Amino acid sequence: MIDIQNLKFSYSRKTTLFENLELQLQEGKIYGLLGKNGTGKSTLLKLLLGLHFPKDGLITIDGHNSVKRNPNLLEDIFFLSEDYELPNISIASYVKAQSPFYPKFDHSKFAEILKTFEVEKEAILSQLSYGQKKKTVIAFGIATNTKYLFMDEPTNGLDIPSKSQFRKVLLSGFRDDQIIIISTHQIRDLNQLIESVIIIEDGKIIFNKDVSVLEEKLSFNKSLSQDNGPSIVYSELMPGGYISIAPNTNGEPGEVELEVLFNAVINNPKAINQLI
Amino acid sequence: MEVSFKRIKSLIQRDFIIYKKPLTYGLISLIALIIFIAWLPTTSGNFNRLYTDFWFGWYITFLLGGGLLLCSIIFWEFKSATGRMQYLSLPASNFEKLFSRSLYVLIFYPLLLTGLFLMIYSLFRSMGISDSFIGHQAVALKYIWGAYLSLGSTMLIYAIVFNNYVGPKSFIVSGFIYLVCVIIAVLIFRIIMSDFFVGMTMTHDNVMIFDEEKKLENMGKTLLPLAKFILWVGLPVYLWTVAYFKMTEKQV
Repeated sequence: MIDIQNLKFSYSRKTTLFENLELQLQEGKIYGLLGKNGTGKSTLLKLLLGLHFPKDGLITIDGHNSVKRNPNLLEDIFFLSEDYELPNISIASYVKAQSPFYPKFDHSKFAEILKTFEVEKEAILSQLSYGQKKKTVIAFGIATNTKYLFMDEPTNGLDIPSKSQFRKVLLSGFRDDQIIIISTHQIRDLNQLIESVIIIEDGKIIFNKDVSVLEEKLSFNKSLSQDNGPSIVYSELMPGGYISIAPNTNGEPGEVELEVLFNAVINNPKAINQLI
Repeated sequence: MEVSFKRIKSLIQRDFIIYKKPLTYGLISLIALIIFIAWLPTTSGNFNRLYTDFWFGWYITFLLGGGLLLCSIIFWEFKSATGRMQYLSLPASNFEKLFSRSLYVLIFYPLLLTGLFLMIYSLFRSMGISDSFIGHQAVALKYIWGAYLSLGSTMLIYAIVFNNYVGPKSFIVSGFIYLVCVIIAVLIFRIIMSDFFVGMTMTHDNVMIFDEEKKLENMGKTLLPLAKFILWVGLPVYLWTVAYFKMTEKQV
């Protein structure tokens, strides 16, 4: 379990990034961490790993204070950062160098994912394209079988087939004891993957709901003209018409459009939160 | 403090896999440079032989110069934010990371250098153009190793604290600290010996602190083991402790 209590963090004395941030994350879910540029999504992931220290407050993962960078905890966390440096060695050598740090590393799973992504195991890392490098690191991260998997913009740089492969690979290996946090701007790529939505704005968590709850409570309706009915809490223009959010009154769970939801929450968080 | 020899082994193994090429090139360059330096005097017309002082001088130069340079780049990953992120998030404790890197600079490098010098010396000796590797300087060698241990540990602290330009920054900071220490020492000396001073000028040329020569000798006997202890144990342990805490404080 991840427990963030009263977190305060800033890069400089003048501006505060997080102020009294509270967040608890439970096992068995894939969380989507959403927010505008500069709201601190990547910073929050780094704070969880102990790569930044809170100015105040406490972050514990399975009871370990993240600041301590306890190796027993770190071997159960894999962080796929948006940027990474890969050495000038073969993928096989890279695995030989890095895998001993992850006791649950599954070599056959790694080979299988790499095959799915169509990346040669004998390839030299520095000679791979950005997308191929990303696929290799994603394959490595999933093969570590760590309890915690933090991913910062994982689909950036992936081609269209790879995005779908990524979703399949991630879901097929997902366990009930795992917590996956995906920080992203590419919500559409992960629409069917995310089980819980967390939105950060102005240093606080302004939205934190399970997608299953959103499916029950919200209705996303497409129409040719803008519907200004009293039940509509948010509406925006989309190709071919409008999409609006209203309370779900028919009792059947509908599909959640995460991008529209995100815009609605940023626009008027109170209205959306009141519906749920 | 978490310590696992398995993880330390994994860290070392990782370094040897990732940095195999630079390590190989570095080793070849080091061997070539030592051979070149030893060969160069033999090209001179009035060359006689490579004296013991020659080997000793260059050995010390390589130990201190090369060793401290190596210390300054030992946390190579810290140069970039991504590198820091990747290294610090590796599943090993701060102590294990510091210990594994300290091993290279404080143990492996001096051993390798000594071995290389002895091999190259043996080569020149077999050609009959070299004196012995070490003579009367042997007494000084253990103090030089001790000094290297402390200087290397100091450089490790700088390598952790500074992300870029470790060498120049260390030089400036060390110079400043040295200057401050000298000023403080002079002021303390001035206060203690106030009877012998007018302003900042000493009025006596020969100040005998000790009345009896024996007292001075006894004091030397007491102070020497203490100085050795400080050089070999006290200072390195203190500096490693500081380096460890700096490592625990290191952020991206």
